[in-house]
Amino acid sequence: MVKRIGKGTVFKSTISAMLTVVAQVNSISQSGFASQTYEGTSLDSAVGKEKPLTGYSEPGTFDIEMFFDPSLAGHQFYTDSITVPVTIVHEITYVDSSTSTFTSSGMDFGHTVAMDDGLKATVSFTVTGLPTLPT
Amino acid sequence: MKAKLIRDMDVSPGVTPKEWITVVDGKQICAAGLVFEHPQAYYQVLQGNAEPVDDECRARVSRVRTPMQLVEARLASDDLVASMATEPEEDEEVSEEDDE
Repeated sequence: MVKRIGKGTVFKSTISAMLTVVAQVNSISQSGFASQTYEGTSLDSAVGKEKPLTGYSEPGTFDIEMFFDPSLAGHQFYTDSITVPVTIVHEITYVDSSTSTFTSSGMDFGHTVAMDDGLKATVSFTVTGLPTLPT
Repeated sequence: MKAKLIRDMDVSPGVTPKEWITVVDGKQICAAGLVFEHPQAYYQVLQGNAEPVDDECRARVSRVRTPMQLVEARLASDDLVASMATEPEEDEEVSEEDDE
């Protein structure tokens, strides 16, 4: 059993058909990856509500926060990919060299200017299909 | 448009064309020196990972970057690759006693 550190984790996106490191990322998070259920409770059900599986899984999103450099090609690629939407394959390489990969279809991009912070952007990638996790 | 890689790049599974791929020490890469044609080839030039090969790529790059900015991008990319090559810190071992 080991505690793995976040430092050294690399986020890559497919640019011109090659995985390309995106610089200045300071956090990566995944959410919404879940097996899907439906409300199966009926009037003649027992006390416990029933949540049967639909047989599908929700792929969820991957979100990154980064210090935004508008002149950095990797960051420009994200904003360009909203004006000309494309699906993108991404890879996260953890410090132990294990990886997660996913394909994004949609993307949300926003940036924040704050008095006591650097210029930051957040990018939320809508995953299509199932992500590949290192487990 | 065409560009030429100046450093090894990682393969994107299922996306990178097979003819771009070289296997080195059992790992698939797009090797430095590869001349590739792609509508987004200029991004790799802007990113400091490639240089333009044809006029289309040169024109696209020169619209948004000065030669000095391209040098800066290349140096920044060198730094990024060097920082990734740094040995990671050793994982912190957790003994069974710590778990209890």
